[in-house]
Amino acid sequence: VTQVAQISQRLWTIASKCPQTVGTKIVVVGLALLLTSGVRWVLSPVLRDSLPFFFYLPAILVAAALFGLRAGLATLVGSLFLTVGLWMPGFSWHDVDPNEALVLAAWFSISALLVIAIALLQRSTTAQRKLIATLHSASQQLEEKSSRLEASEKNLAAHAADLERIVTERTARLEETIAELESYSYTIVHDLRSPLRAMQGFSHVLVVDYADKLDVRGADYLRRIERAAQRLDVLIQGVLSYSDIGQAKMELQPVDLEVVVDQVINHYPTIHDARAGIEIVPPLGRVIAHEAFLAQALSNLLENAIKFVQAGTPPQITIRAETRGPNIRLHVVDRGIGIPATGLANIFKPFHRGHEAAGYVGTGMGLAVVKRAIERQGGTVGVFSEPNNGSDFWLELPRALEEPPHLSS
Amino acid sequence: MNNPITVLIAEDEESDYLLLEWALRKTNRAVNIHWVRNGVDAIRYLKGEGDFADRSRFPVPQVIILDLKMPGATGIEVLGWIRENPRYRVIPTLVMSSSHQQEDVKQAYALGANTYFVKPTSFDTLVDLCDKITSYWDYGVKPNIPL
Repeated sequence: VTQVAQISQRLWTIASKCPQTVGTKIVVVGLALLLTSGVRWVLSPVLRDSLPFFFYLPAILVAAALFGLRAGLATLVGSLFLTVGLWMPGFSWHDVDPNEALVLAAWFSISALLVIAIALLQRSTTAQRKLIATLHSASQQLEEKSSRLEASEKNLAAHAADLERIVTERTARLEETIAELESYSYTIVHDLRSPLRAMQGFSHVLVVDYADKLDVRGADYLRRIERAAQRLDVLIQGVLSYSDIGQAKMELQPVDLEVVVDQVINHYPTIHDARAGIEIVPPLGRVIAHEAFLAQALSNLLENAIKFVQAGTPPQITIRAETRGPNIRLHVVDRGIGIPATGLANIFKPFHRGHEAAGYVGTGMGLAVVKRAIERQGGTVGVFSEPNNGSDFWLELPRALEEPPHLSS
Repeated sequence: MNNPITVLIAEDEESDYLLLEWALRKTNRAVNIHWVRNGVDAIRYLKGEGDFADRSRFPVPQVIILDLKMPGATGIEVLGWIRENPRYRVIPTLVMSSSHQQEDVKQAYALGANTYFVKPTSFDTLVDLCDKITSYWDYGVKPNIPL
C-alpha cells in the first residue's frame, strides 16, 4: 500500500503540473485503455480467453490515482465494457453465464475497492499536503519575519555602535581641543611675563641707579610703572597656577590637615605675619588629597581672610573641621568684611573681583584657583557669608581611613 | 683677593640678559660676564671654537647660566653636550628659565643642571639670587679652571 501510495503520489505530482481539464482526462484515460488493450491484444495468442480484465487494472488505477474517484470508476466501467466487448466474445448480456458473471463481478469489486482505496489515500495525502503547505508557508513567513527582525536588530546595533564611536570620537576631539587651549593659554600667559619682566626690571634699575637724576614726580611715575607691572605679574601667576592645576596629574594620598595648615602658616610670609589671629580647632583629621594643591587652596583662603578685613582691624580667623558622611569639611572662618549675596554666585569664577570698588587689590584668580584645585582632587568648595559678618569658606574632601593599627609581631 | 668670576650667560632675550648682568654687577663680587645668544654659540664658546678661539679673551667660565628656550640649540641640548664632555661637567651650571613646567625642571636636573631657577620678576629676588650664585662659588671648593 505504501508503494502504491508513493507511486500515486508521484503520479499525482506529475498530474498536478498538467492542466486538469475534462479533455486531458479523457485523452489520458483513453490512451491508457488503448495501451492496455494493445498489451492484451499482443498477449492474446498466449492468454486466449484467460485474464480478460486483468490488463485494464493498471489503467483504472492510474486514472484513479491521477484524476480521483469518479475518473477511476468511469474507467472501471469503460474497462468492463471493453473486456466484455473485446476479450469475452461468448458473453451475452441477455444470457449471462453465471461463472463468467462471477469472475467479472469479482474483478469489478476488487477494482472498485482499489479505486476507492486510492481515492481515499489521495484525499488524505492531499489534506496532508495542504497542511504541510500551510505549515511550510507559515514557517516561511515566520522565517522571513525573524530574518527581518534580525536585520533590523543588526541595523540597530550598527546604529548604536556608530553613535558610540561618534561620541568617543567627539569626546576625544573635545579633550584634545581643551588640552590644546590650555597649553595655548599657558604659552600666551607665559610669554606675557617676558616683556613684563623687562618693564619691571628696567623701571627698577632706573629707580635704583638713576633716582638722583629724576625729580619727585618722575620717581613717583616710575614707581607706579613698577607697581603696575608687579600687579600684572601677580595676576599672570594666578592664571598660570590655575592652568597648572588643570594640566597637572592628580596623585592623591592621605594628608594630615593639621600638618598642611601648619606648613601653610609657616611658609607664606603674609600668613605667617598674621598667625596671632589664626585659631586652629583640633582635630582636623586626615583627607585624601594632593598635598601641594591643597596647600595652595588653603593659603589662598587664608590670604583672603587676612586681606578682606575692615581697615585697621587685625584679622581673626578660625580653622575647624567637621565630619560629613565620608568626607571632612574644613572651614576657614573670618570676621572680615563679608560678601553681599549678589557677589556670592560668581565668587569662585576666574577674574571675578568682588571687593574692587572697596579698594581691595586682588587678581580675581585666588578663589578660582581654590575651586579648581579642590575639584580636581574630587572635592567641593563653598561659602557662607553676610556683609559685615565675616565669611565661612569651606572645602570638602574624602576622609582618609585611619591607619591600620600596628600588629604586635 | 678674589679674582673676578667668569660667568657665561646663554640667553636669547636681550632684556633678560641686561637685567641679569645688572643684578650680577650689583653683587659684591667682581664678575667677568660673557654673553652668547643661543645654545650653538654656548657650545662653541666652551669648545673655544671660531670666534671664541682666543682663551685670553674668552676664558673657560666658572659658572654657566643657561636659558632653556633658545633658537639653534636649546639649553637642554647644551646641558646634554656638557654631560657628554667630562672636561666641562665640573662647571656649575644653572638654569634660569621662564618655564616652571615640571617636565623642563626634571629634564634639566636629569641632564646635570646644578640648580634650576624660574626667572623672577622681582628685582630684589634676582639680585639676591645672583648674590647666592657668586657666594656659592666663593664658599665651595673649586676644581681648577681652566681645565
